[in-house]
Amino acid sequence: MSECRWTPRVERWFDGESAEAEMVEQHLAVCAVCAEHLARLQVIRGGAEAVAVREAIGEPQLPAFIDGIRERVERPVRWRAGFWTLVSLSAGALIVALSTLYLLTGGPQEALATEVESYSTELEGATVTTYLSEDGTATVWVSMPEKELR
Amino acid sequence: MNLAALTMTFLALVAVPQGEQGKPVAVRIVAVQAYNSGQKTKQFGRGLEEIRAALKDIKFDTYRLVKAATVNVPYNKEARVPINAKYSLYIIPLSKESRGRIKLKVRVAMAPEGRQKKPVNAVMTTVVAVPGKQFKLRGLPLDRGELIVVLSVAVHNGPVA
Repeated sequence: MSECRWTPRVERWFDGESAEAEMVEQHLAVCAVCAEHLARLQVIRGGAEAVAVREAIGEPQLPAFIDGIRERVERPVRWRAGFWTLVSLSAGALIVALSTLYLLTGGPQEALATEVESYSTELEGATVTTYLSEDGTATVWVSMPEKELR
Repeated sequence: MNLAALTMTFLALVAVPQGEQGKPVAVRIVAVQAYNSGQKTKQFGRGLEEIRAALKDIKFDTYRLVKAATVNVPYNKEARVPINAKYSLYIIPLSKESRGRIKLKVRVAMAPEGRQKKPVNAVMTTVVAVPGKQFKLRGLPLDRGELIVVLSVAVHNGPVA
């Protein structure tokens, strides 16, 4: 893009800040570069003004506008949203409770058997063993010397 | 409000197992004399229905009830249950273990005989018992057969098999 040394002056004039308006206008009439630059500035300003335009609510629309706001504010919260929030919270609490119980109790007891940790006897000649019978009954068995059972 | 209720329910659920630690342990005891009397099928005396399964592996043909009792024993306290003139059972619940199990020390003491001056511990054992499941001590001589003691535990009002 070619430039003219008058470009800054043209921009100041375009912004209404130029003290030499007549000279700039005369230059614009003879300089194609500055004329083209001016045209671009006008397009940009037009676009900016279009964006800056705000919709105004006129007197006739005001009651409907206020009614819309009131309706939105006073509308009850949809029950479904509350329901699903409650379901989510309940499910979360249930998972936490069950996990904690599982950790505290160590899980289901079906597979558990009574464990014999230690066993002994003070009877002279006797021995002690332990075994788990077929039905899962833990047993501590004292075996006496043969003569004792006669 | 709902969140507060859920939190309280959760805390209550968590608190129950911890609270049980202080409750006494209920111990069910059934002592049996097992002997041979020449029967073709096993003969069980009255009051032995609850322990028949626990006696399945024992080869004697006749079983007679010697003593049945349920005692509530606090943790770390010893309870004595006399079985007969010769034997006494002693129980000390030691601690509550994982999965609701209860560790306890059990011994059967034999009254002094002859020159003995002190009771003799005929059998001593430490078990980690599953509430509601039976375990047994066997082999101590009793008349012409042997003494069998079947035990089971529960916390408070839980199951005592």
